[in-house]
Amino acid sequence: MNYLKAVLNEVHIYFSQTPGRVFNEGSPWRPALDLWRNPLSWTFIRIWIVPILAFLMYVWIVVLQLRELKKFRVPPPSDSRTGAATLVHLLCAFNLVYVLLIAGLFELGEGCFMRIPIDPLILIGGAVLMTRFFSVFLRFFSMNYSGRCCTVLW
Amino acid sequence: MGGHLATRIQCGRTHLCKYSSLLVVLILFCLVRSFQYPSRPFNTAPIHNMHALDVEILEHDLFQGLYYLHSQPPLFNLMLGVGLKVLPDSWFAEGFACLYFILGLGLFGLCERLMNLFGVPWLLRIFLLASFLFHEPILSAERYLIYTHPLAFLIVLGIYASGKWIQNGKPFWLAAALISLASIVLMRSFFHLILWMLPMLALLYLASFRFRGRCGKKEVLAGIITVAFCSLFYAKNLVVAGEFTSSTWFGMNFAAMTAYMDPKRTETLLAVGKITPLVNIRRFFTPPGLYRLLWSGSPYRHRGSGCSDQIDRQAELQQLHSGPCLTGVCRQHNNSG
Repeated sequence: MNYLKAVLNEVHIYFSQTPGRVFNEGSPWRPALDLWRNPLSWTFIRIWIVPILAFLMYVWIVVLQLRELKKFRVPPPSDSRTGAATLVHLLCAFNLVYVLLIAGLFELGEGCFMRIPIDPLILIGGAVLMTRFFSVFLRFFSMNYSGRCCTVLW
Repeated sequence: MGGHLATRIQCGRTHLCKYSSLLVVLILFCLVRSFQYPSRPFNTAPIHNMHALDVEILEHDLFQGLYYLHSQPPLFNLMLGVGLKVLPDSWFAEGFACLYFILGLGLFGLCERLMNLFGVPWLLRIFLLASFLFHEPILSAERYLIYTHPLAFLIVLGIYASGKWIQNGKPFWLAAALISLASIVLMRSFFHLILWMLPMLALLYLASFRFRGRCGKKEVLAGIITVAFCSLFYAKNLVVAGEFTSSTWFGMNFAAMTAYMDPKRTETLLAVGKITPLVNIRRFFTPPGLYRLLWSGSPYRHRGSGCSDQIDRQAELQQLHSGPCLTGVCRQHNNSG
């Protein structure tokens, strides 16, 4: 049980970017309940909002990158750039999952420091995520109005 | 002649357009860092931490130290040792600061190229990378003499080189990818040879087979040689320390995670004499620090330890002297690592 608490704590640290003990030590996360008195309590945001949002974004990036796996099944594309992009996606996804697992299961309360070397990969994954989001948005926009803005941005 | 010159100018313009966002990112990096660096001088103090061997050993007995002292992976120690031997004392900090700056420049450049590979729009690329310049952890890592920043650079370089190899099949990129992966494994035990490097190589060769339609014998042989080279260091640790890793640090991590105990419960057990006061010695509390504490009794505060709680060392000393048992060690409840 203690180990599970430690793992939860470690995953929390990994996404909250602050070392320390939260879930395997009783007191620090209780001030979060001040939410009812002070809805914008920094403690609440730090302990609950930031890690949960970061976790969701992380999972989204990994899922997006793992979807590239299906390109292994279809016939190889003639464009070598697509193959390179697929491989890079998969390597990034593998690194994101690996570091999260190892930092979560075996580190000692400094998971956020374990994450720093792969921060650039998270940034790149986030950029791809935003591009997909904007491309959907702009496609919708260009269908309804004109394609000029797409040309400017792309 | 005129036509040839015009073609060359046109070609140059095309290249400039192609790499203009990269150029903007690199210029931004230099500009922003030139404002950030004065408030953050390069910190060489971590060389005295547990992440590296003792400075005396690094400087005067590097290779024996690398062989027999196995609590850290060898590559970062080798880098520091070479730096200590090659650079004069007064240039040591500047030399490494310069190296870390170049690595930072490379890191941002490679990130831009990877985003370009994924078809991220140039405006978004520049905006995101400009924001990333203010990302505190990366900036801190760039100003600390610790392996985090070289590691970040090597990971991105390894991935970029792998992608380029799939794209154009040049052996140079395969060599760059393999050297990067090997360096990562030898720089930090977190990235394990079997758990991390082998799946990475498997993905690389699988992608080559799938997208390039072939995977030459020489290319596979290069991968095998790289793995064998890294295995040598792991095998050395297996012989010397009995563990197939690049460092034997892991035990402390696992002990600290699993043997954690609520401080209130520790106090209770200490009060009834069930556990030894040695339990109060926190992890990263170095033996010299402990000896100094026991010898002089002066207040001693441990700097840069990594444990977040502030401990009054004087009170700890008193506890150590007045506790019921100073000699026995209760392994079950000891969270000191």
